[in-house]
Amino acid sequence: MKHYTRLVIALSVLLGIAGIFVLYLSWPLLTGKTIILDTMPVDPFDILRGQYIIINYQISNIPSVEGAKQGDSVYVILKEDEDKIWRHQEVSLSAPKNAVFIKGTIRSIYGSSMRVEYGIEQFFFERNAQFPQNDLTVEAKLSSSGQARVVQLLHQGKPINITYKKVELTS
Amino acid sequence: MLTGKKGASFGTIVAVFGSILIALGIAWLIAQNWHQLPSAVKIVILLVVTSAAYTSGTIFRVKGHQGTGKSLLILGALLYTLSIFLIAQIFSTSTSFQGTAWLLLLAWIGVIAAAYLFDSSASLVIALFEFIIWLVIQFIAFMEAKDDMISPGILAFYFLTAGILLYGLSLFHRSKGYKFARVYQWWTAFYFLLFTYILTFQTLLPLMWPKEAASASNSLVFLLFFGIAASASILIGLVKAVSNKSVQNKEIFAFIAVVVLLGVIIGLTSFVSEDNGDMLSWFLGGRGEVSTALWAMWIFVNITFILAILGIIFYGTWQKLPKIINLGVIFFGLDVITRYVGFIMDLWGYTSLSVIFITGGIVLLAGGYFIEKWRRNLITKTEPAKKTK
Repeated sequence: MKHYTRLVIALSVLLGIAGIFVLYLSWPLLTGKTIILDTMPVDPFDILRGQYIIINYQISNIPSVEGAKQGDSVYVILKEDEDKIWRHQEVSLSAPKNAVFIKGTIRSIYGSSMRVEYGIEQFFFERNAQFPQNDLTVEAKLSSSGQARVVQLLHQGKPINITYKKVELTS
Repeated sequence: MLTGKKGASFGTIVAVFGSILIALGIAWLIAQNWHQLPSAVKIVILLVVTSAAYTSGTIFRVKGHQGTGKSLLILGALLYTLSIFLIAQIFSTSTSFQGTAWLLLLAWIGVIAAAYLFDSSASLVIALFEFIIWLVIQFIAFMEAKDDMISPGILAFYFLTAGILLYGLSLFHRSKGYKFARVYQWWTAFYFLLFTYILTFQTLLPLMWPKEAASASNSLVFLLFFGIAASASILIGLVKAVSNKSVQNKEIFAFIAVVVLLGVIIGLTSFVSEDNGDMLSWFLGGRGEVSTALWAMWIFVNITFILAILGIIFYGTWQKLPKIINLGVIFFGLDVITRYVGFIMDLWGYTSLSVIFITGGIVLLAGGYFIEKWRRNLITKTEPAKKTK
């Protein structure tokens, strides 16, 4: 009986860690506001997690703000344009009130502009995925604290059609 | 107490292969249909498979099939780690080094908790292996955040601190008579030997504290907290072990001497540091004259490494721990091979290669024979004591 009690405790710990992790990752998706962001993607491969694209957003390179330094958190206020794309409007070092904003980290500062990462710079596929490489936008969800999660990739404003090249066994 | 046979029998090995095959089969099945499954289903599959491995492992152990149970617990630890990475994939989390470091942190914390709850040394080994990788990836993440080079000397201090932390845990477990003490003892020895071995390369010594390295505030704050944890571990471990006499004073003094010596070596390498601009050419062999200070440093580190190996072997013999003796002998063999390859590279073009190869071959053959003979003798010395227990 002692062993089964330990099993229950161990599974509670492991599933608890995994569950909290899933909840943390899901929170913006469950509660957040939907935004569409413009992109400039490239596609590498991660040995642990497979094929993915690195997404370079238009809001990745924005004008610097006074007093900002590498590693700082920044809050980028977004505004929707007539094409329904959310674009950078203003940057602040503190969380703004009554505005749609996304939270990022300054990776580098070059003169009057800076490079910011938002944690949504990658999107994973299974191997041999084929999809259009241009005219891509990203549908994301934003939590009230500015945390973002990718929902899906869009091609010409519609959910992207991913096809998978058939794998032929050679041995 | 659990009952049943210990050790890896043929049946156990077959069971391990069976577990791995089942895991691979499930992984392949999921991989083939991964994009067709909703995210929630993917997560449920991963967690159910992990739970199934742990549950079946426990059932087998209770029924007395220790080997099969052990292999399933190993499988559970691996599947849990895999689940963390696949959940991260499902949510497209950051692929940066910091993102990977967070995943490894979740992985080793879960696996170490399971190791204690299931009383599984094999799971603890997996957790400690993930811990090392996490430590290195976290250091690289600090460099990534700075977008610049941080002195690798700080990473060396991470390893030294990890060694202290593990030794503290080993003492604490010894005072309680708990079997994990042996695992921590082995890993402490492994950390110190690996760490000193890396320092024995002349090419690496000037890179430890590059003159134009970036300020390393984040990595130093991490080292500070890590140091506090290690200090707490060693203090608690020492108090417990000394109070119930499970450690002798000379072992503690020897440990302190090793830590101080290694700390001094890391610090001394700052006297042979290079400019950032020269580092790449230095590493690629485009360096000019080797300074006297660097030669002296290199000889000092190599003598220390040999002494560390002999010290570990002596410790293994004294404590009657064949695994520690084997570890010391493996590092001795590694040192011989490394220095031999180093001499070939240094003397390339100056001396007839055939002479170097023949001489080296004879040295390695004879060395291999005598090292193996030496190892067997040392192991034999530990055996009579075992039988009397």
